[in-house]
Amino acid sequence: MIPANPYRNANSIQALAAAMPHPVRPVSIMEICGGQTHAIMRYGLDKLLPDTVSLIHGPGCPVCVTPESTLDQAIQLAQQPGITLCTFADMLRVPALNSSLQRANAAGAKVVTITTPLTAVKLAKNTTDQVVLFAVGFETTAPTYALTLHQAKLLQLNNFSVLLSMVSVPPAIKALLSHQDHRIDGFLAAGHVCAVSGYADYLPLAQQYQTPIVITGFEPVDLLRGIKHCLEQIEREHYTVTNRYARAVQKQGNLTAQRWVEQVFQTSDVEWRGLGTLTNSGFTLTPAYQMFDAQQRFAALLKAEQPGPSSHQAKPKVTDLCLASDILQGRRKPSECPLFGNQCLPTSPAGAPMVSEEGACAAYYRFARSGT
Amino acid sequence: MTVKDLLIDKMPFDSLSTDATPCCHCPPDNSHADNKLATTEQMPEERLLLAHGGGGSAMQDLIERYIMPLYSHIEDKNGVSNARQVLNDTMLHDAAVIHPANPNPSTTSTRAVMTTDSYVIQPLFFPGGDIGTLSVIGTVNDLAMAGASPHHLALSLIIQEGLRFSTLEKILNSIRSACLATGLQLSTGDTKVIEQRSPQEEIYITTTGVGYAPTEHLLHPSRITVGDHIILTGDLGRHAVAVMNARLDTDNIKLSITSDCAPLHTVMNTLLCAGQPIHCARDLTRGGLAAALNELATATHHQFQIELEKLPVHPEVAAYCETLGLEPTYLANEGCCILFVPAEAVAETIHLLKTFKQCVHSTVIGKVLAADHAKPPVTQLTGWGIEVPLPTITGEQLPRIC
Repeated sequence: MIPANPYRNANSIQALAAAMPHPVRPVSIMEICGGQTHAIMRYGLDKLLPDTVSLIHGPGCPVCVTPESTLDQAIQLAQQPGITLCTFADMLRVPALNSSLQRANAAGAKVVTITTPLTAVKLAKNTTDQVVLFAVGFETTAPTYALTLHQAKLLQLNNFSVLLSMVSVPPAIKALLSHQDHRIDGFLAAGHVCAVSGYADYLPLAQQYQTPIVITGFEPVDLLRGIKHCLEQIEREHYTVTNRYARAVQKQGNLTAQRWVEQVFQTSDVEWRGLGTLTNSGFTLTPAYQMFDAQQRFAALLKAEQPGPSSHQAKPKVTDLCLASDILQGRRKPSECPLFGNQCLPTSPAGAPMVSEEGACAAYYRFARSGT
Repeated sequence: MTVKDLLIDKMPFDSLSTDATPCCHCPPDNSHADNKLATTEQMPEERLLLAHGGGGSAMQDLIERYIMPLYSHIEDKNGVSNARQVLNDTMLHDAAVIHPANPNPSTTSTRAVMTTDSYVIQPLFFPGGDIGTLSVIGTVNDLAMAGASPHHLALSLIIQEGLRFSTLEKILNSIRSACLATGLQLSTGDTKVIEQRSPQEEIYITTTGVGYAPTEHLLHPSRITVGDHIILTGDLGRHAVAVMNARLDTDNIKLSITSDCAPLHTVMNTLLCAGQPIHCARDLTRGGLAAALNELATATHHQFQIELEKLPVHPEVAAYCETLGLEPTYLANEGCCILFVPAEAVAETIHLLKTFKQCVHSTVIGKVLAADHAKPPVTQLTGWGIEVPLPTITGEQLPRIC
C-alpha cells in the first residue's frame, strides 16, 4: 500500500548526500522551477547539502510571473456580464491591484476553475456566453493550449478566446545571467519544460556565461543527482548542459508537441512580473489564430475599464514593500522580505510567490519556519 | 464533524461582532492590527471565500474570529458563563458530552453524546457512495470518535427546486439503509425547498446525532499522552480522490478508486469493549491527516512526529496526486481515523483493527513527543533523517497549472 518509488529511496538519497562534492568557496545553485523548489523544501533536501552550497529559487512559477496588468484584465473580463473566465486554480488567489479572481468570484464575477484547457472549449460549445481561457504557463503547457485553440478553430467557436500570459525559460536564464551582480553559479533546469522543448537552446547559454545547466526531474533522487553534477562541473570548471532526467527528456524534445506550438504560437517580447519585458521571451498567437485573442476581442472594454494610475499609485501600499521581484531573480530569500510571515501570508498574500504551491515564499512559509 | 466546524455561511456577521473582533471585516489573517499603510485606501468589503470552508487555516480563522465568540456568551440560568465547560467538553472534539438539566453524574455510568454536521457534496452520487450515505456515516463516525454508539438522528433537508423525485428517492433510500446498518433511529427532521440557484441538482443535508457511551469508553483529546503511538486505520485520500475525479474535468483519468465512506462505530466499539486503552480517536475528513494532527497537537500542546514513509497511500491515489499536484496528507477520507494508543497496547489494537476489512492497512505512523518550542506542532521524519514541518494548509487543495 506504500507506493515503492525508487526516486524517493532513503538509501539512494543518503548515498548521494554522502558523495556530494564540498566546494571550498560558497556556491549558489538556482533551481529554475517552482516544482523543484517545492520538492526541495518538502523533502528537506537543502539540509543534506554541504554548508558552502546554497540553493536559490528561480522564476519558474507561472503564477508568479504573470503580470499584474494581465491579471487585472482577467478580473475585468470575469466581472463583465456575459463573460465566463476559465482559469487553473492556482491563479485564483494571486493579488491584483484591489482584488483577486477568488474575491471577484465571491462578489459575483463568473470564474470557472478547470484542470484542462479543453474544458473551456466544452463550456463554449454549450453556452451563448463568451468564454475566455486564462492561458498561463511555460513551454510545458503550450502544447495543450495549442491543441485547445486548434479544436476551437475546427469547431468555429466564435464565443471562445484566450487571455495569454505564456513565457519561455531560456530567455529568463539569459536575463538573469546578464545582470552584472548575479549570484548564480549553476542552474537546475526544469525537466518537464525540456521534455517538450528539448535543451538545444540551453547549450549556448552555458558556454557564453560559463555556467553549468543540469536538467533534473522533481523527485529527491533526481534533484540530488542534478545538484551533485552541477557541483562537479563547477569543481572541474567545465561548463555545459547535462541531462540528468533522461527517462523523460531527449535533446530534441517532443517534436510533435513543438509542431503544434509552432502552428499556433509565435515568439514575441513578453512582460514578466518581477523581471520586466524580455526579448523573445514568450508566446503570442500566430495570424491564423489571432481571432481568438481576448485582448483584441475585448479591447474597447479593457481600455475603458483600465484603472487609472492616479487612483492607486498615489499612496504607498503594504504590497510596495514586497520583494517578489528580487526573490524571483534569486537575489533575496523569502525570509529576507519584511512582509514575510506577518503581513504576507498564504491567506492574504502580498506577492504572487506566496500564492502558488510552487511559489518560493509559499514553500518557505510552509516548510522552513520555526527554525527547523 | 466537530462542533468547531460549524460553518455558518449565511450568518449575519454584524450580529456576531464582539469585543474580541474589533474590526470584523478585515481579511482573515493577523495583519489587521498593523496594516496601517493600506487602511487609507478604499478597499472593497471583505467577503467569505470558498477557502473558508476548506478545512485549513482560513477556516480555523473564521471559526476563531466569528464562531467561537458565540460559545463564550452562552450563559446558564444564573447568568454564569459556562464557556469553560463548553470549551472543555466540545470545542476540541468531534462530538460533545451533553449533560441533563439536573446533572447527577454519580448516579449513572452512561453519558449522552451529541454531534452535528452538514453535507453539501457535489456530485450527489460518487464512486463508493452518495450524499445520503455520507450524511449518516459522517455523523456516526463523529459519535464513534467520542466513544459513543449511535442512537438517534435528526435529519434536515434543504432541496433546490428542480431536483428529480427519483434522485430524492435514491438519496432517502441510502439514508434509510445507512440508519438500519448503524442502528440509528430517525427521531426528528425538517424539509425546506429553495429556489433554483444552480443549474445542477442540489440538495444539502444536515444530520444531528445522539449516541450513548459508558463513561469508561469516553475518548477525549485531553487524554493524549507523551509516548502515545499514532495508528492510522486506512490508506489516505480515497474519498477525496474518488469525489474529485467525479467532479472535476479529469474524466479522461480512469480510476478504480472508490470512496472509503464507511461507519467506524463497530470498529471503535470492538476496541473499547476489548479493553484497549485508546486515549483519543479522530476521523480524517476535510483537511485530511494534516488537519487532524495539527488540530490535536495544537490543542494538547504536544508535538507529533510522523514518519513519511509509513503513510499508506493506494498507488492510484498517489499517481492522481502527482498528476494534479496534490498531497495525500491533505485529502479527505470518510472511513478511517487516527488512534492515540499507549505503546504497550499497539500490537493488540492493530491485531483487532485488522479483523475489519476497512482497517486491514492499519499501521503505526508516528508518535507523541513532549512539546518542543523550536519545532512546529507536527513534523514528518523522512527516511533520510531530515525532519520537515507538516502544517495545515490555508484552504482547500486545488490542482495547479503544471
